[in-house]
Amino acid sequence: MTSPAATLDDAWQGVDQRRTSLAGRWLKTFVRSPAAVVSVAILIVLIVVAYAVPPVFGLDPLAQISGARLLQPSSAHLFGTDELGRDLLARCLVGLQLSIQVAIASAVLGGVVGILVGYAAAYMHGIVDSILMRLTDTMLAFPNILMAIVVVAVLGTGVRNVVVALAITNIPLFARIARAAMLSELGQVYVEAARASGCSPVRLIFRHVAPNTLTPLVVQLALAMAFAILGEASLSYLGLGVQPPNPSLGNLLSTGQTYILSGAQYYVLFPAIVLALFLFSLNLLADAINDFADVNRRVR
Amino acid sequence: MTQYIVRRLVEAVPVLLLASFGVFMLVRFVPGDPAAQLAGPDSTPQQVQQLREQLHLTGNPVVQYVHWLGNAVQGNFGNSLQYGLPVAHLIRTQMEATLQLGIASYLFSMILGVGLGILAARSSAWSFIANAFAGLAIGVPTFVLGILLLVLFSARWGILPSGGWASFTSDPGKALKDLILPTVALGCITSAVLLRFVRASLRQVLDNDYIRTARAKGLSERTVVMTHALRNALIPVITVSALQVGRLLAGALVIELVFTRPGLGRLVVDGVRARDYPLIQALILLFVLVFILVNLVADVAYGLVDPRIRQ
Repeated sequence: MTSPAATLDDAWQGVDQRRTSLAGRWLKTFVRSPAAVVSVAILIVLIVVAYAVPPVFGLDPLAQISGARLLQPSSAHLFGTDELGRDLLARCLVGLQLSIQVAIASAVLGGVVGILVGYAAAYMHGIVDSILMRLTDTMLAFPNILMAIVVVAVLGTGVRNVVVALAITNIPLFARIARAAMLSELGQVYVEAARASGCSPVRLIFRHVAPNTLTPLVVQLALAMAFAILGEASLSYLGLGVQPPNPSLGNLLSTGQTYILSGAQYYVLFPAIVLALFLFSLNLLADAINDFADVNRRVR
Repeated sequence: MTQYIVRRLVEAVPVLLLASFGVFMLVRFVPGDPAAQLAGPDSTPQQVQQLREQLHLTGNPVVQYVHWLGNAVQGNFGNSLQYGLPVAHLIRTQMEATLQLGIASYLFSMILGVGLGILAARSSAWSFIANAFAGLAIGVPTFVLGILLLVLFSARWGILPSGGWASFTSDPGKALKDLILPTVALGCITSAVLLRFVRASLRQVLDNDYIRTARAKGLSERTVVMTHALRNALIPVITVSALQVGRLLAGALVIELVFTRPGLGRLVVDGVRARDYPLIQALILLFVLVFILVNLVADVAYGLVDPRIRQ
């Protein structure tokens, strides 16, 4: 028979080993998934190109070159030029920068508010939970883009209001997911142990439980960014988002569309490809995280 | 069954009231003084006051809401600020084009989604094709797909018109031709969602014992899938397809601008650009009503095909 101290020691070592190998296993599964590697690679390339190429090559999205209106793609202008003689590569890349910023800002903003709402609903349950969940249900009944249009209708157009609109649209899903994850964790024994040892609710939620609810929320964060990029592009396409002369993938598409029939088809092609590529890799990444989180849950 | 429908109808009332109150309060959430902004810097205080009353911004919000709702129930949403015409009239004239597009893309996505879903559930080659299609359809945004279709079919090949609209009653040929591209652009993503759902649902049903029995007694594969399995597999699809109606409606807002079609989408976008609040309020309320109705129809249909749910 082993002494209790020895068993505890063994158990502790077991825990410790598992923790280190878990991180290793996460990375290993991640690297082994081609979808994850490809999507992360595309995203990194897009981000680096968007931020590095315009300053390094001195591209100005607003500079008008006289006599260079609607030029086909060439070595001087890789993506061609627009109706005012501005370089389309520069405009695409600056538009992409804007998409990235709007995506991060609105996903994080909506995510933080949504997660707090979800945690609060799960922790307080009862009447607060019912009210908060009815509210999120009502919001979820609206298609995303309509919800965003409604907010823009109230606040007005412009980048800042687009971020707010997309953040608000992101809140209900985050709240739902955070609530579900929190609810399933609150029944665990370790929560009871933390409560019994006199842990305050705030410390209990954020220190003990929150880390265990992160996986589905990270997946949702990637999806929310994809939605935000699509939402910003749609709103700007409709003329409700970024206002000219500032470029955005959405308003490049709407201006470019008017030149399709006069032979300038390259105009819409490049923003469309950049947008689709970005969305594609974000969706792929969300799928990959989801898959490998599943694998790890099973292994655990 | 009647009882079930009545109960669902009664349950919809508070949601509708809450939503309508939210819609009514929209103008009051506008930062600053919307009436003064709309009237412009050269307006007299009387004009601003008049506009304020037109927007129901004066007095007690609850009293004003009841007043507004009473008119709204009778289809009276006041006059559009930008067109000066009754909002109800504007909506009525633009409704047909949107309805055309909505119905066409719903049918398109149902046929493509269910068809591909059935094929993909039973063959890995079709499943691969279905995955590729779904990946593309979900990755490429609706309006970008619309623009790409325009580049190919209108600009390059000149087969289909780049925009326009005709009523089915006056010119069915033109109406059909104008509908093809917007329908495909709008319906692709919905059919991708449906296809994944049908495939998963059908695969699950095909694992059941009764399917093995049907196969064992020598029925042809076609009969097994089409009459035995599909009937059960499509029950959840009803709900999903109904929920997609809301998505189609939202997509139509953007697609209508891509293909320069008239319709409710154009009305919403013009309304938001011009801050035409009476028009925006009426349209949002209409959309909410449609979503609630569609969900209700889905539930009732669900109850019709699956008697267990009625209890």
